[in-house]
Amino acid sequence: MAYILVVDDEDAIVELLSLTLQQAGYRCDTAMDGNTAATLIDKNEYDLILLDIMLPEIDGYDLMQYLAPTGTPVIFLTAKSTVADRIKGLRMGADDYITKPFDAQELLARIESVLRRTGRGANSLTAFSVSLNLDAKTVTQNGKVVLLTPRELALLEVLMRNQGIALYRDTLFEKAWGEEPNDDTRTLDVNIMRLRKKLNWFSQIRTVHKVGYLLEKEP
Amino acid sequence: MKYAYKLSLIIIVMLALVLSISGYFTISNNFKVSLNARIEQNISQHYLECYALEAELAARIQRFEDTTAQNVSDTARTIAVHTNTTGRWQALYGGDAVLHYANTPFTIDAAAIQTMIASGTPGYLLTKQNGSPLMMLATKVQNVNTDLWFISFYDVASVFNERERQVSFTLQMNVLVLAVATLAAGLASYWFTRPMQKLTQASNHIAAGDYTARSEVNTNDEIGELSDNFNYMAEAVENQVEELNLSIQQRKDFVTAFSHEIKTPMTAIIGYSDMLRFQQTDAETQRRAIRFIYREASRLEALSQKLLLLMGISEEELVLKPTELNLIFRDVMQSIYPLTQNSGISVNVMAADDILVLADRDLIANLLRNLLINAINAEAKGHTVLLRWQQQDNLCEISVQDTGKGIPEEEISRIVEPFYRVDKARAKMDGGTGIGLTLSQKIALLHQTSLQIQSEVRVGTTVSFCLQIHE
Repeated sequence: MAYILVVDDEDAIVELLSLTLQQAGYRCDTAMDGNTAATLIDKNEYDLILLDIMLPEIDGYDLMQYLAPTGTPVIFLTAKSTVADRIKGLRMGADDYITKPFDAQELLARIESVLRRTGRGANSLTAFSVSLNLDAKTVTQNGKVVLLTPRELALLEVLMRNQGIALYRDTLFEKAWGEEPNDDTRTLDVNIMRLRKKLNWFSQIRTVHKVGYLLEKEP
Repeated sequence: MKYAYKLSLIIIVMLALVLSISGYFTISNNFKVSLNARIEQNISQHYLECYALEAELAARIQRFEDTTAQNVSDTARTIAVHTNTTGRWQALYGGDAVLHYANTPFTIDAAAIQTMIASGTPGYLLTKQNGSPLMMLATKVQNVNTDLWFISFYDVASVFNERERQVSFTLQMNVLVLAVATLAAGLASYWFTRPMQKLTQASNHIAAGDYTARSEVNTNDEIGELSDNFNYMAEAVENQVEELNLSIQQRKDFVTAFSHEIKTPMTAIIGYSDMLRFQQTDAETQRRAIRFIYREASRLEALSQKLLLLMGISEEELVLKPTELNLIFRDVMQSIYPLTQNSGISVNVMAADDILVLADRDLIANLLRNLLINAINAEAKGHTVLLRWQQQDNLCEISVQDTGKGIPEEEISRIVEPFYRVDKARAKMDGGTGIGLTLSQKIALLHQTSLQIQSEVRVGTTVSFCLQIHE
């Protein structure tokens, strides 16, 4: 998996980011000021850098200039949300520009997108010999195409991204389909059942009592 | 049309008018005088010749005793022949306008002769012959026993030609004079209106947004005065615009800083709470997440409280009460106790017994707390921050002094702006909200004083303000 450097001067956000990235299976280093970040960049070869702009000593723009020659992809992750700031960031060569507050799932998707674009990450998610192609939005199992509805596909994507973590029903519904669930989440159960059938994942997708569902980690 | 053109045009039109009128009167007067002189001269000439004729006729008549009309006219003819010169001709007419003799090279206007003879009195007539001015004089010859009229013709074209010549000469002169005058008027107008062009240029620059433009006219006249006033106006406008831009910039900065200031804790709160509601997490992760949520929410709360205070206190009338300075100092020291304990920096407080100041106790304590927190954060470990007071007449000057990193001179004036931080890094480990000094300044202003900040980089900072002493 890709090796990512997180640069932000807020401990709360640094920890949130590294937790999110590690759960998604990334290796991750953190730096809380520009100098430390520069030292780390010199020492290690990162696949991606998540960079805040307002940093002590050396700010994000300076750091961007410093690391531009290395060709390492950069995503600005900042509270500076005006159009002018975005344009400036992207002009400087950033691969993406994400404003705070951000959604963890969206952040992960955008990280993957940048990694794919720069040829540093796979364009598919895999679990138990099931492969989900993120570009083509197709699913294959042991090389055979499995036909899924858009809803099933979205649900599968969230499960695969959070492999090994028990996910709460209502939020799973919301994350997969981008809408607030109404009182009963039967739609979710129906779709989970269909996924289990189509992929023959009766044991792999586990029902967690009082929580929701979990895609088992591979042994 | 340009002012210079208008000015030149008016000058030239006026000049042309004056020249034409004066030329007209001069020429017409000259003409009249010379025509009259010529007429006089011709009349004299005519009479002279007429008398000569009469005398000759009288002599001949005596000699020949023959006074028949034929004879008389023959005689007259012989006399007249001698008097024939260029531009002067004679004719003799009988009483019934019968032509006896004429030496004119042109045909005589019989009707005119008839009119003159018929009138019966000598006189002259100005007429035209083939377009050339001609003066005709008729006199009845005396001392002859027949009706005989002596007519003289004088060519007076030269008088009229002279007038023509004068007219054309004057016209030429006028054209020359006007040409020179046009040049001179153009130059003069340009010279007079040049200051106005400068003014126009300056005002155009200002209109285009360059408020530093000034008109450089240094004359001691009305335009110079106008230019000076214009420059005063431009300066006033420049200052106003600068002030306006500054306040716009400050507002923009405030909004940017404020949004940044609230977005950072929001990001943490939303991020962690989203994680907790989505994923089943272990107890340790949960605890850390909740700790962060709590801390960041508290930060937002502190910020909102200060903002509310900042916006709220301006509205209500503040009642300043006599307060013991000692009590205020005690409040402040109690509130920053945990900070002094953790930072390893001590605060040296000067005793303030029996000093009563006019103040709002809570607000002044809040102000001093902000100043002390800043001082402690700037100070290096092991050093001491001083909280001092000093009586000056009926004022009590209170100061907070540190020997910390100091503030660059150019930033001192901006330091009370909301969210302005000398250290752009915004290391918020100290829990600072970025509006502490803004609030402090506001409180100071409500106490009819303001924060005086003296600072030198790497030497230290002293912030002071004055409170009224209650007698």
